[in-house]
Amino acid sequence: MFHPNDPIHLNRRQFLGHSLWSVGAAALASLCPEKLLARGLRNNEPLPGLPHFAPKARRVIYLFMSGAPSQLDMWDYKPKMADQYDKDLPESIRNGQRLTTMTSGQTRFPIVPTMYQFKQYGKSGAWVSELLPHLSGVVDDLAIIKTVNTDAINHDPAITFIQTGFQLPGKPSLGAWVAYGLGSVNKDFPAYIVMTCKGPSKRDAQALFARLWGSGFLPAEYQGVALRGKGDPVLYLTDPPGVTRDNRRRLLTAVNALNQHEFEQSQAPEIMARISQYEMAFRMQASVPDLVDLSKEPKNIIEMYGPEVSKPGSFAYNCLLARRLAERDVRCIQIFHRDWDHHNDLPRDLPLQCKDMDQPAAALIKDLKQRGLLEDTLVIWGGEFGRTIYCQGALARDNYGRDHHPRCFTMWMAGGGVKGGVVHGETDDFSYNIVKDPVHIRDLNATILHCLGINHQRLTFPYQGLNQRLTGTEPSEVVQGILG
Amino acid sequence: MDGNALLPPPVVKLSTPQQEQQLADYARQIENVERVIRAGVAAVDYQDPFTPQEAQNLAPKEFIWIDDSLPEGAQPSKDESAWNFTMGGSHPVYSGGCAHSQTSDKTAQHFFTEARHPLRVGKGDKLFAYVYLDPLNPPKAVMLQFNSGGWDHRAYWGEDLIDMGTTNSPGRFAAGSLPEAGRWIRLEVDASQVGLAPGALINGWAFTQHGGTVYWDRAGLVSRLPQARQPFESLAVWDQWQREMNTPSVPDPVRQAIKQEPAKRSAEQQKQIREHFLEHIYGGTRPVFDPLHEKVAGLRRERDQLDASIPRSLITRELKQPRASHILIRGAYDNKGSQVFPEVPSVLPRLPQGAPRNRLGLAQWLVDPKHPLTARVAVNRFWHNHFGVGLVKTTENFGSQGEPPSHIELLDWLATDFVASGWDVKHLHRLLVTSAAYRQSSRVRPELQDPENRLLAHGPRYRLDAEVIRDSVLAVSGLMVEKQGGRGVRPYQPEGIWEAVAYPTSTTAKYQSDSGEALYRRSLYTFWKRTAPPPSLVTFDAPSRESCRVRRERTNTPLQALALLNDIQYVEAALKLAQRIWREGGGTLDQRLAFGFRLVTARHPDPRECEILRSLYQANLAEYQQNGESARKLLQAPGGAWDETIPAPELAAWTLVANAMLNLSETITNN
Repeated sequence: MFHPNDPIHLNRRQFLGHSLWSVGAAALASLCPEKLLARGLRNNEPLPGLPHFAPKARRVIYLFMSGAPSQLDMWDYKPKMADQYDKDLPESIRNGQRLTTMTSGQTRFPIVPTMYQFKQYGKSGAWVSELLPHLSGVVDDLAIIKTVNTDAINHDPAITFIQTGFQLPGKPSLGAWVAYGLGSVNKDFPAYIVMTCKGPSKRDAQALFARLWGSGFLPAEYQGVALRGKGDPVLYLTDPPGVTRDNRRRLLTAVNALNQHEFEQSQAPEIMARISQYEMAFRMQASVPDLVDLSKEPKNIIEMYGPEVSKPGSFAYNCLLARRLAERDVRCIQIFHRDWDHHNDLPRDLPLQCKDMDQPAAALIKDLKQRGLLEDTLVIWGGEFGRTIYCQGALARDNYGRDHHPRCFTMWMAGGGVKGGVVHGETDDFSYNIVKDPVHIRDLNATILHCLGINHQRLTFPYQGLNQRLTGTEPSEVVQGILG
Repeated sequence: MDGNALLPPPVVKLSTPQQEQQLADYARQIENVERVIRAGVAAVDYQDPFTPQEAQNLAPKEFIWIDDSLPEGAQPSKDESAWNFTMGGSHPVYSGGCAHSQTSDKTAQHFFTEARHPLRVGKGDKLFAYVYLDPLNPPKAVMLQFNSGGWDHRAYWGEDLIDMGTTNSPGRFAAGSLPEAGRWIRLEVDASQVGLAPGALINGWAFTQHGGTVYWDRAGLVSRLPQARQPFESLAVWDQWQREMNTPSVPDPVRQAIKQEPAKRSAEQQKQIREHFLEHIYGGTRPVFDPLHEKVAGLRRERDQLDASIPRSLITRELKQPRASHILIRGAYDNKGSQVFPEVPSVLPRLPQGAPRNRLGLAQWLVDPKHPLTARVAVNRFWHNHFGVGLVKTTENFGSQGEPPSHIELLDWLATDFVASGWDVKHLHRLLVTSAAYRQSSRVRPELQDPENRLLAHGPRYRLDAEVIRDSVLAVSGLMVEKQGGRGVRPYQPEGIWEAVAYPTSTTAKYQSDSGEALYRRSLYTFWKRTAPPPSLVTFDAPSRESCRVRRERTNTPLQALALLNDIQYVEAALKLAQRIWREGGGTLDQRLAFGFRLVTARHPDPRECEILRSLYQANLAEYQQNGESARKLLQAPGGAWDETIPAPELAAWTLVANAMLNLSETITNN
């Protein structure tokens, strides 16, 4: 026989209404925010003073194409190249610029025009390749930036640079900065969620690194939480076999009661924070399975994202989850799509990659839009650098490869804060150098933060003697031309 | 890419004195046997049966390699090319008891490779085989092929119909017309005509035909050299052959000596050649020296096994000629500025007089007792370890951008005391943990207005580091394996962590967890893939180790709750802790609760705590008694055995109580 007032035997509703919990919440609330901050307890609130101004976007969905997609075969139309096949890239264009060691030994740099057809689409008349039949249908929602450029020429430093603002490991990722600055709107999910997927091609995909969604010198609570296509969607989410939800609830109630008791003895506010984290863990055990349960998605929505959507871990599946996460107000959602590194056999692999990416990415834009979510969601698409106009390795009319090209490449943004139907910047006829309106990685990141209501110069964290920033110490500017 | 090589040089070998002794023993034993061999060689009374001239002009002898059976070790072709030995009787046989035959209407053959004792080809040698063509069904062509690493040594008789090799080359040499049918004919071809130079070794042979029925018999080589297993009896003959052959297994000085014209060899070279021949080649000494060689080889194998078992470690070593270092303008590796040389920052003390400009000099400078800087940084880190925050909060930064110390005189006193103690780390630890500041209550005292506890209003209170949490849980559950040293281990890890980021063909693309004691070693030994570090440690703020982190943040997240509640490592630990509680905790429920609680918190529970745990236990027990299947599922979850002398519902209920105890804030907090 158990005592009716025994805390272990309260149900959850009773528990939450019970004095025990109220005392905990009150104790936490009674401490002023500065004191909590002093002890490293933020309780998901934005940093004081943030956002710096009214944000256009509440959240970000970042579709990262790891390996560097070819701007020349997808977005950056260069009709004058058509009759330049196998002609040498003029030295006046290359101008002694650094090459990778994969092609620096080549005796020639023969031009290879794209073998794909480009057409103009939408009201904006943006040129898009035939490889992107779905994204070409939403160009009027996209701000296409043709002049993104980076400092790095190889994958590891370049991916680290675009994700963390620095080529060397150790700095926080963009998502971690956003989570740190703005906190979490949602009580059931972490502020920054990451999904990785594998592309369809057979080649050896470039490796990724946990640092790309890491928190660097920021507290680890701001690192990206991986939502996995395999096993538990969130690590350790599932209770062990033989443990029912009632078991778990009872156990958490006991743990919380003991922690509460310890708090009363020790007055340490961390203990109350721990109680609230255990409660959030319990909620996540319901909210995450609900998130990945696609059974209630209407058939027409499932079909929008294409046939791969039913495979957990595919890009299409992850795009649909991204929309569901956006609906749940998760602050930063990032999808890593791999295998875009087409040094050789580009015509064999690039169409496969595009097919895997194009329909789900376009569906995500449309789906967000029809729900009114695109207005305050910033969607970003792109890789770590571009690819060369000249061929790497053997050249044929129907087979070629392209090396890394950091001097210009194409990315696009859509949704909260940016204008649709804009093409920003111009590259030369070879898509080798920038002619007008360069957008450095730092400018890009400053612009992303701007859309979220953050002045990139004022989101800082003191570390190693410097007020560290995502955009570093060198000058960077918000790209005004694409802002809505 | 080094293919994830374990030990790219430079490395050091870390042998124990006992291992050193064993290695020395092997060296001595090997030396002893070698001494016996050397003495034996010196004592051989050898007379060459031939002079060098005679050796050159020896009459060639016929060596039969294939007759009635294949040479030792030969791997015969199979299936359609199977060997078909036919006994006499209705079939023709040239010698011995049988011949081998094949019938076909197209190109067909049978062959072998990998003969253990190959034929040695000498100057002017001839290869031969006997053939009998069926007069009622003759072939259009026959061919012999010889394998000397490859098959491109062929001779054919008859029409050029067998499409192998290139016509008019040693790979397809036209040796003559089709032999007469209905009688045994000896086919013969010069080794040189099929591209087999003196010194070549033949380890395989093919008998090929185009159509018809063909019988083959006795085949081999006409040579002056001893063949197959026949040992060399003459130094002069071997000398000549070795000069042509240049066998790589012969030690380099002997090979060099043999290359010399005999007349031009020094006395030392003659001695080297003679001794090598007597020790390794000469038939007369094989029964003596072969067993001794085997003995040495066995000792060497054992020694190498021992040597391979000795751990090695990566080290840094100065280049003999230091590489020139340059300022890289704006960090670009291809944009070099002026050359720079080893020196210390000018705001800091100079390098000690005469200190070398290398790591040794840097070490001398770091611990130069004339300055307290290193000791300050060091004692601050130890303080940080014990108190959760350093006297200088920015443990990693004592520069002008770091925080000033909270207790400047204390820091200085600790630093000077540390140096005076001879950098005695144990002394320093004792000093810190026996101090009044450390031993005071960790109860927070809001009335003292010290929110960050920088003024030490209360004793240390901080969440334990990731590795310490895991190690303490292993320790209290009794799972910890305290073995020291050895290779890294792979404890439990959810699947898919590595695959999500790795090159698919990398050697670390797929994580395979270890089994047995490797699962319970201290976290220090956990294998670390920096691009996908162990998730249950990273969740508790362990850095990825991609860059140096002196100071970790201490976060408090729902993912930590999930890991401590559900990670199989912790579920298993809860089960083992439950077993300990049952077996060691005493006879009553309250005794057991108190025992478990003390194990994880190092104090007795108060009545309220007992009450909460008691009702948790009783509620779980009631449920598991109703549903025994659930209890067994939980006990099976870690995949190992559990103590079946304990009733399953009780053990399952205790497992959840232990699970709760391991999740207490107090358990994972230093207070």
